[in-house]
Order: sequence, then C-alpha cells, then structure tokens
Amino acid sequence: MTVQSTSVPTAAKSSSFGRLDSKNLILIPPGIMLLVFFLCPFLIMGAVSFYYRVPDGFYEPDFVLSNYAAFFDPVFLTALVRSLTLCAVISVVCVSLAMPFTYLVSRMRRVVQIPIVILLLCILTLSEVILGFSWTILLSRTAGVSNILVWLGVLDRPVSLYPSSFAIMIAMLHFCFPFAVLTIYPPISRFDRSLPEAAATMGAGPVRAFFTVVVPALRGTIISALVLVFVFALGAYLFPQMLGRPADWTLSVLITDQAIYKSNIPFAAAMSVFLCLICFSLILGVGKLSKKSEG
Amino acid sequence: MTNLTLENVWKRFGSFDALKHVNLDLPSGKMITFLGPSGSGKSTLFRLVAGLDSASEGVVRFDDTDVTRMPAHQRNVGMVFQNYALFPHLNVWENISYGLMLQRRPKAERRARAEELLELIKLPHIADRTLNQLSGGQRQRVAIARALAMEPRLFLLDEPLSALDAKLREHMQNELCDLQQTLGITTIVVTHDQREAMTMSDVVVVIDHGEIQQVGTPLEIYRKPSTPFVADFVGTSTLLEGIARQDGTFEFEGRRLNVGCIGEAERDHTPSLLCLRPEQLALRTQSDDPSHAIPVEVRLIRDLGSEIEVTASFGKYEFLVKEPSGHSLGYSEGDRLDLLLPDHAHVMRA
Ligand SMILES: Nc1ncnc2c1ncn2[C@@H]1O[C@H](COP(=O)(O)OP(=O)(O)OP(=O)(O)O)[C@@H](O)[C@H]1O
Ligand SMILES: [Mg+2]
Repeated sequence: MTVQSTSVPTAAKSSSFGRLDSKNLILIPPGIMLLVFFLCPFLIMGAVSFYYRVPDGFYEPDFVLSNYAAFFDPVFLTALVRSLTLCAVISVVCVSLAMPFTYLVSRMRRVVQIPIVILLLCILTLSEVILGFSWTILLSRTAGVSNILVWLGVLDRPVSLYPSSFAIMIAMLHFCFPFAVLTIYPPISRFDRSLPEAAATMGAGPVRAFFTVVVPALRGTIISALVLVFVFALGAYLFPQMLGRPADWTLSVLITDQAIYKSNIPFAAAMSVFLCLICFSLILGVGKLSKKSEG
Repeated sequence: MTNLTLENVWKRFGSFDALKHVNLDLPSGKMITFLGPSGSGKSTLFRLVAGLDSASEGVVRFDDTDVTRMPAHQRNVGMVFQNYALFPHLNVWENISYGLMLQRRPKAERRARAEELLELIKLPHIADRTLNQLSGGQRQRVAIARALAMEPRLFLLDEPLSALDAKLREHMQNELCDLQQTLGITTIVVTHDQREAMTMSDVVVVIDHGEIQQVGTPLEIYRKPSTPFVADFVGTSTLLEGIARQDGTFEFEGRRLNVGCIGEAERDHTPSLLCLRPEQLALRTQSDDPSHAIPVEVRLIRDLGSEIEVTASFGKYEFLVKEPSGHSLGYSEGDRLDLLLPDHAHVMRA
C-alpha cells in the first residue's frame, strides 16, 4: 500500500457514497472487515487509554488523563525521541540503498529480476523473531562474524557484537530493506526509460542521470517510501529487546513491557494511541504534500 | 556539421537480426529521413547513432572519429524522443538548459540560452511554465529546443510528428525544415509516413526488415526505386514482370512494349520489373501505336473531388490512373480501353 493509494478510498467515498448500487455493494465486506478488525480494536484501545489502572490489579472503566500525564516522564520522552530517531535513520538509510538497488534491478533482464524479487519476498515472510535470533547468532562471540574477522587478522579474539545499537540497526535494516524495495519497485519499473536516456544525450553519465533525473522525478515515490518504512520500523519491538540494552529500548518495547510485564494496560494503550497518532499525521501530512507537488 | 558513416553495422536481439549489414554514408548539414514500415528497424538504427544501444558488429563514425564504443553522454547528439521525454520535475527553461546545468554554468547564462532557444522555436513567453501548462505541440517544440541547446553534432528526431494532428503536423514539418536550414545542422528524422519523408528531406534512407533498401533524394526514390519494396512503399506503382531488352523495349506477356527502359536491371535474360506510376499513365479509347499501350478494363472510378482515381486491370495487374476532376470522363466502369504507356519507364531487378 502506498501513500497515494490511501487517498483513493476517500475520493471514491465522496463520489458514490449516497447511492448503494451493485458497484458499492462490493465495498461492504472489506468495509465490515475494516470495522471489525481495525476500527473496533482501535476504539477499544482508545477507550482503555482513559481507564483507571487499579494499583496491583488490572483496570476499571473510568475517564482519567493520568495515563497520558505519565507519558511526560523523561524516561518515556527519551524513549520516544530515541524511537523516532532510530526509525528515521533506518528509513533514510533503507530508502537511499533501495533506490539505486531497485533501479539497477529493474533494468536487468526478467530472468534475473524475478529471483531477486522472490528472495526479497522470502526475507519479508520471515518474522521478527527469526530474524532477531539469526542476528543474535551472527553477532555472537562463539559463532558470529567476529570469528571471521579474527581469521582475517582484523581482531585478536572473537567478541560479541551485541547488545549494541549497532546490532539493532543492522537487524532493522535487514528487516526493512526488502519492504523498502518492494514499495518502490512498481513505480521504478514503470518509470519512463526515455528520461534517463534523454539525460544521457545531453551529457549526463549514468550516475548523474540517476541523481539529476530519476531521483527528482520520483520524489513523490521516495517521500512515501520514507514514511512507509518509518512506520514499518516503528512497529518493530523485538529487535531492540533482543539485540539492545535497556538503554536502547524504543517506545514499542516499552509498550510491550508495560502491557505484558507490568500489566499496566491503560498506560500501554495511551502510548499506543500516541504512536498511532504520530503515524497517522505523518501519512496524512505526506499524502497532502505529495499531492501538492504533483498538482 | 557532422557527416555520419556506418560500416557494416549489425544489431542482434538474441537470434533476431534487427539490422543487417547496414552501410551508410550520410552527408553533413542535410535533412535526412529514415523511412520504413513499422518494425523495420528505424528506431534501432537511430539508437545506435545516438549511442543508446551498441552495435553487435560494425563501425559508427562521426566525421573521422570512431564512436562505436563511445557512450551516449559523450557523443553530443541532440535527440527528440517520440514521447518527448521532458523532465517532469523541471519547468520549461530548466528543461531546455539541463545540459548546461550539468556543466555547472551560471544560472544567468543558462537562462539566457533558454530564452534564446525559446525565441528560435517561436515560444518566447513560456520559460517559467511547468510542463502540464503546455499543449502537445508546445511540448514538442520545447523538446526540440532542449535537444538543440548543447549545439549538438547531430540532431535526431524519432517520429517527431506522429502525435500531432494533420494541420499542426504540416506546420511543424515546415518549421523543422526552416530550423534545419537556419542552423545547418545534420538532422535525421525517423518516419513511417512516406509523404513526410518526401516533403521534408534532402536524403531519404528507405529501410525494410533491417536492411537498407535505397538511399537517395526524394525524387530519385520516387522515380528510380531500386527494389520492388521501395516502389511499392513510396507512392503508388504497378510493377510489370517481364524482360528488359537491350534496345530499350520491354517484353511483357508476349508483347513488346516500346517504353524506353531505363535503370540498372540486367538486359535480355533475367526477368525484371517495369515500374509504372499513375502520373505516367493515361486511358484512351483507342491508341495509334499498339506497342505503346496495353488493353485494359476499367474496374473502379472514384471521384475524390480534387481528381478522379480510375482503377483499370490487365490480367492480374491493376493500374491506377488519375484524371482531372470536373469534366466527364467519356467512359465508365466495365469499358475496355487502351492504357497509354510513357516514353521512358524505370526497370529494376525482380
Ligand atoms: N530490445 C529489443 N529486444 C528485442 N527485439 C527488439 C528490441 N528492440 C527492437 N526489437 C525488434 O527489432 C525490430 C525493429 O524495431 P524498431 O523499434 O527499430 O522498429 P521501428 O522501425 O522503429 O518501428 P516503428 O515504426 O513501429 O517504431 C522489431 O521487430 C522489434 O521487435
Ligand atoms: Mg520506432
């Protein structure tokens, strides 16, 4: 799903919501699905975020703002800033790597393209747990890459490369890169070949043509990919826990921590609502921005 | 002013030969068209010249420089793409001065050059417009201006006029010719429209199935087609199969036609083709000289307003004859008449 496509349902709504002809009937099942599986849980979560948490117990229905107030605790604020920075870095790095990569792949012959896309899809099907555990092995002292470095003479003896923020970054990149590539793959493979060719006839070598024509002409795609990868990365909560120290924990980890280990569901809900609002406003804002730059 | 030479150029896509032993030596400073039906390899040849594809075999030369392995961005050719390929993220003047931007020229200079070119294409007031504020014809001119901005050695246009309506097309044909003459730049236009090729160019290169069929001025191509394909593709013609004799007569279906055969075809032995164009023919009720006429039957009379097209047949051959419109023909469909042949006609190898 791209940011552009999020604007499609609204357009369809405004034009044909009054009548309920056969064309609209088909919208009912997905509509119900969205309502039951997306909107209802979200509303419940919103409601819970205002509930009162019974000390040493669970929670009871109420309307208190203390869950949101607790949020201004410096611990959570720094976690929030850390999450946003981490995801921003991941998203920028992923998209900057994915752009040239996808561009090159899309210009290869079909027989080469298909296996690469399949490989990326395979990585995407691996859950965070599997990726996380494989990185704990890869970065470990006993079986990890540092043994190769020792063998190469770079290190004296094997070391464990985790927990560290570097380890989190690596695993997150691994996790987000296929997603980034697959988001920008369709627009890049549809991209008009004659534009870089025209640039070439005017004296631009392949690299300059890429940066002066392909990148700026695809800026809408790039912006939406940045946002999507950012949101995708925000959802990752196992990597910081498995590969980082508590000091590296992100907001998603803290939410898990509050909800599962501290049983403070209302506070976890409040943080989730906050995170959701950040994502929504980002997507909406960027959607508006890219629409403005196109029109 | 660059003279373009291709020597024994081949282009293969897998096992398919898109171009076969192409040899061309094109004069500098001229308007040249590549003419051929769809899929004949015009664009392929064109892309080899621009350097967007590389030849499988052979040599491409600009003047005396071998550019076969030179990448497109070093060749300095200006190119107008079929879809114009204007950069959507840049406005009109930025598009035109893109090449100068690559050379890091100061903004004032780039702007001045863009204005100059806009003047040349007669659109002086659109420098600051974005592309979606332009009509199709304007876009095309901007693409032309952009291609000319770097003072290229060759100016290439791939079917530049195919997307325009008939009126604008004719207008742009004239404009392009004027522009070419003002700048004196070697210009190559790809087209599958034979009329366009005939009206615009100094030299026409006819291509079919990846092979050069003929190179010549429009008149040469029309009057002295060197292969049946050219005779058929350029204009209307009827090709009679027979044997050209040493004395200039043509032996055809047991007759000896006194048509004064001219052309390269071998005499006396091997079969050759006699090319007859509509304007060389006339229909009469009775001819004085039977060796100068063929008996035909009128099949179809079509009044086009400007002229009348008459189709007449002899055996499997059909002839098109044009009569002036406005007065009565004196014959009607089904009549048997004599088709008068010209004093001189072109023969070619079968
Ligand atoms: N990249 C390619 N791979 C395989 N075959 C190709 C490729 N490009 C062109 N061809 C083939 O080469 C032949 C010539 O194509 P080309 O594009 O040069 O035709 P054209 O004369 O420009 O036709 P048109 O008037 O339709 O543009 C066609 O049969 C086409 O299928
Ligand atoms: Mg073509």
